[in-house]
Amino acid sequence: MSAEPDEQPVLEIRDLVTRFYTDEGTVKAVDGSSFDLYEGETLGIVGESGSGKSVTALSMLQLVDSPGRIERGSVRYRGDDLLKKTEAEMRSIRGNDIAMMFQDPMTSLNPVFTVGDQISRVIKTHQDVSDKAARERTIELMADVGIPEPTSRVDNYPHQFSGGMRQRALLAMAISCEPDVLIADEPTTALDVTIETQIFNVLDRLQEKYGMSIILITHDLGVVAGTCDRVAVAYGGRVVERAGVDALFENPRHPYTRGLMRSIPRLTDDTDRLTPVEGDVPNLTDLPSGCSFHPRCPHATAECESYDPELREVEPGREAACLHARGYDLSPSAIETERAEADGGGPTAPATDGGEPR
Amino acid sequence: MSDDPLLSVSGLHKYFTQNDGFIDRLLGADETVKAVNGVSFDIERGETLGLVGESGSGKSTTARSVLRLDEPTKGTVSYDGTDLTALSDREMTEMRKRIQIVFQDPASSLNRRKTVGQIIKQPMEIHGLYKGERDARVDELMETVGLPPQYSNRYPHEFSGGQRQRVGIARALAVDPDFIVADEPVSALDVSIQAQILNLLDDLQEEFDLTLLFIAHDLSVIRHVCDRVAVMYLGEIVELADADELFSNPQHPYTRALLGAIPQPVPELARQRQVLEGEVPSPLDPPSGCSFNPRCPEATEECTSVDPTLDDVAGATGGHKAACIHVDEFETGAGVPSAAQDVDERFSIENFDAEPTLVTDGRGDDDR
Amino acid sequence: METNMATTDQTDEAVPAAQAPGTHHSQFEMFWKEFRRNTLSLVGSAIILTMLLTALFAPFLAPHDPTTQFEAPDGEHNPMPMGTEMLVENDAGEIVGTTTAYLGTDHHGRDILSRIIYGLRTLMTVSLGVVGFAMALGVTAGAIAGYYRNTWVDEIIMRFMDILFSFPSLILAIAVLGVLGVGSTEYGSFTLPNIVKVIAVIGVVYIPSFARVMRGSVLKEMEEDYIDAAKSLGASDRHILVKDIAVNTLPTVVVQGTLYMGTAVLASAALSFLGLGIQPPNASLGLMLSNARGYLYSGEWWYSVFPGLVIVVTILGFNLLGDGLRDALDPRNDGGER
Ligand SMILES: Nc1ncnc2c1ncn2[C@@H]1O[C@H](COP(=O)(O)OP(=O)(O)OP(=O)(O)O)[C@@H](O)[C@H]1O
Ligand SMILES: Nc1ncnc2c1ncn2[C@@H]1O[C@H](COP(=O)(O)OP(=O)(O)OP(=O)(O)O)[C@@H](O)[C@H]1O
Ligand code: SF4
Ligand code: SF4
Ligand SMILES: [Mg+2]
Ligand SMILES: [Mg+2]
Repeated sequence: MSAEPDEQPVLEIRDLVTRFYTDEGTVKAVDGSSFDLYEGETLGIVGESGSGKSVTALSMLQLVDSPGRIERGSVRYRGDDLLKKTEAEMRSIRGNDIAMMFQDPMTSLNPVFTVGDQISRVIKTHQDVSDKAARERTIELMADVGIPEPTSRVDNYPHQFSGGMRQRALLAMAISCEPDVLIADEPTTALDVTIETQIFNVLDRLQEKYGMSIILITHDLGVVAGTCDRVAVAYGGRVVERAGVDALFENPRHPYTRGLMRSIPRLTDDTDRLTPVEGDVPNLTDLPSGCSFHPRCPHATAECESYDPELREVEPGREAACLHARGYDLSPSAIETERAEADGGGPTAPATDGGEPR
Repeated sequence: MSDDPLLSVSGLHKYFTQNDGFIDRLLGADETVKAVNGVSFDIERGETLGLVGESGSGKSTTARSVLRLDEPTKGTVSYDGTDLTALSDREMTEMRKRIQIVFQDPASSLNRRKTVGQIIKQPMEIHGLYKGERDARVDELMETVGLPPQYSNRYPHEFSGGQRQRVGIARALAVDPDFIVADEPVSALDVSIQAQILNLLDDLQEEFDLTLLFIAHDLSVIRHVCDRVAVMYLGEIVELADADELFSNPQHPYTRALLGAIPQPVPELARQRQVLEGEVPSPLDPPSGCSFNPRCPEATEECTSVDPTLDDVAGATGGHKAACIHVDEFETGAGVPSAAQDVDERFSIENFDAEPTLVTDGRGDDDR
Repeated sequence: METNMATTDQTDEAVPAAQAPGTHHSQFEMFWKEFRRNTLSLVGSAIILTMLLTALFAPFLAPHDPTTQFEAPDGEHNPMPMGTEMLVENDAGEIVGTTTAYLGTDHHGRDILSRIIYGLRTLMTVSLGVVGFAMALGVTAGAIAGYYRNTWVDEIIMRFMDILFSFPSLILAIAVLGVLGVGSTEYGSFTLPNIVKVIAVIGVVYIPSFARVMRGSVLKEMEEDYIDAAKSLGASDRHILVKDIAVNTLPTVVVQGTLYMGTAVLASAALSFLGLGIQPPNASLGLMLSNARGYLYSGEWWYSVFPGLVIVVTILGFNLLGDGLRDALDPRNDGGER
């Protein structure tokens, strides 16, 4: 499973903007996010709580509810813009072509139906099969995701499952129609590391078996390091760095990514002092001007307070949105060109994409 | 190890009876959850003892029993020479000035309809301390934990998760305790904020001469904070050692499995995560013999019948103990190498690959 | 956002919130903001406020004494229709002038508007009394049961509540008042006024509802860590119940109380209707309806419609207000950052 950068991406997200209009003000939950997903790869989206990861995923499937609205951007799935589709068209895509697995395993399962019923129902929504066939397929899927004794477990209620088992059931539900793309939103956040490893093993095996592309949303850089091919780092509602996983961990190019890497306590390191990213996660109703990371950035300069950097290629196959990352051309002439482009043709798509895993 | 530990827990048991109410209990329709099943450990003055284990292993229950938030079923908790389990409610209330707790969920541990000022003041009111200077002390405490004192009339929801945790810490410090139990104080926080809180706890420990019982499920956090570590599994301590010793020479198969399962933020290492099969068994119906035997890669026939006790590991240092009958057969030093990575240098501020010359006329056309 | 502040503080270990200054609202402001959004709850409050003020200032607002019997002018008979110019007599029985019966009179020639105003006063007194009585006892019992959940204390309180709850309210009231009698009861030198009996007898059946709701919300609060935090600080049970749990459960209880006001209004009216409530000649809306029954088919519609309307509108007002309060006090609206 490796990404072919010159291939057409399965999913191409460009300049996605989603806002929530609340009493407290406008929440810029997704504020110009761009990234791609290639055939058979696992793309990690990492970021702290409130960086807009879940809303990005929901926007891709047009699942944003009021007071939220997708303002602009495009989500191309095999060339088709999903944001232009009708609700009926989306319904046949959701679960079937693009499946989603949600953050909270407890609330994503309905406590009053058996786990088997809930999986069967998804199958029957998209496929014209008999109750019996659906049940058999359900049992097969439950075995696939590693639920022991699936023939008896199929009639259990969610509360009879442990947290890890529930997450497996959700996974079975998500892959029941052999989707092309699986979006997994923090599938293991509520679980122990030991159970987390089990789930990722299953996910790995299923990806191979069904040839899925996966978007894995997480706040855990360790999980990203272990499971993803490429990574998009989110901060303040947008992607601030994109790179292949090895390259990213070798030398992160955005100061936020560097700060994040530094702040993680490591098993291999026993110093008493940790190096936090100072300050607090930004409030999306009131993002700082300029580069939204500037109040916390150790490299911030006067420019950073007023100039809002876009994702730029900082070296082949890698992009960062930082004025001072090497490769970000800040010369007056480059800015002029960019302005002209912006005036001419609406939002500019980032120059190139793709990041080759090493 | 000195003979005068601040806290000495011995043979602590806490059983819960699960039933639907009083009538059931009368009828004896009980099921017993052995949440904590014979736990013993000491904590020296000024030391930080870490308690790790998977969800449901009984970490919180141990802490709660020590504080008598849950009444222990059996065992003694001796604090500075006094057996807490034998104290009357009145005596215990006096004692609570010296022992404090910080909770995992910073949202739920603060009363949402009180201002943070009122919250921090509450312990002083309960114990009738600092009369007439409470407001000043609230300000002082807020400053100590890094919160602007002028926010004292705000409500918890107006703060971020990390700031709420600081409020919780300020409340714990309000009565000037010697001992703090921190029950997963950073588990609910973002990574970038986690480090701030851990550093804060470290500073406070130094400044106020605190002894800490630090609970976490994340061994990497434990490594950075603790002097000694106890690993719990299904209500029992299965391994206890100095932190350095535990990480460099883990002995119990469970500890090794936990170490192997941690996703490290280094791709080469993270891809080699080891899988520990199975889940923590239900404490309603624990396995016979060694409770880890259904999942243990080293288990033998004998393990299903013999219940190992926590014994000294032969040839190991620093009071290293493990509860495994095959412990002597394992290789030593199979743990995590210390300071193997030059993380600090790699991701340091200085090494940031910055553009050397800064362009000054980049006034933006940003639309925000 | 004052970016400068954030920048200068950046070297500090803890930078103040990314929260915008000015997001600080008092609890009342937040409540009012939510409450105001719903037009229906504003309508409800307006109705209830009007009703309460009317009841409170009945002696000033009522055009006549509710018990004065007016004479119908020639050609008219009691009940007099709306707008009739009634004859006013002095103590000697001489006609000294006329006055308008805006809403007509009843079969004794008493001014309906005045009787409604005084009747409302009675109705509000009884209903508030009923809810206050049930709430005081129910909330206390529920709080204690919830706090000592799954102990014998809880068990005894709640089983007792189950028994109370199984009584059909009106039948219980009829039975009790039947035994005690409808007038005031004398116990030696102590007089138990009828209104107190009525309040207690209606209120007692609502106690379990308050107890259950209170127990439920206390149980929910008990799950929160701040309770353990308070315990670990050495707070006494009473301190925790009164200072911590009460502030969080109060909104639920207030909502419950408001919604039950509607039910209590209906029950007190029904009891009066049956003749077991406030005794004549005191004005009572239920009693008016009961008397008006005899005139339903003879065309004197004003006799029954106006008292009925007031009862309906009052109940509606309480329900609208209760719903509005519930929405505005919903704990889910507490979180600042949704
Ligand atoms: N329904 C909603 N109404 C208002 N604001 C919302 C809503 N849903 C999300 N938001 C806001 O959008 C922002 C992004 O939220 P999102 O859930 O995408 O974050 P996330 O990156 O998934 O965080 P987490 O790691 O906590 O799941 C947050 O500030 C959140 O408060
Ligand atoms: N009040 C209670 N009644 C019944 N069982 C309980 C109670 N409290 C805890 N338990 C059980 O005791 C066991 C240990 O729980 P505990 O909360 O101590 O675990 P933990 O190690 O803190 O886990 P976590 O990491 O999830 O916080 C669990 O099986 C739990 O279900
Ligand atoms: S643009 Fe400036 S503030 Fe933003 S990340 Fe780069 S150096 Fe830091
Ligand atoms: S006693 Fe046996 S089962 Fe238990 S940890 Fe040791 S080897 Fe494993
Ligand atoms: Mg999310
Ligand atoms: Mg716990």
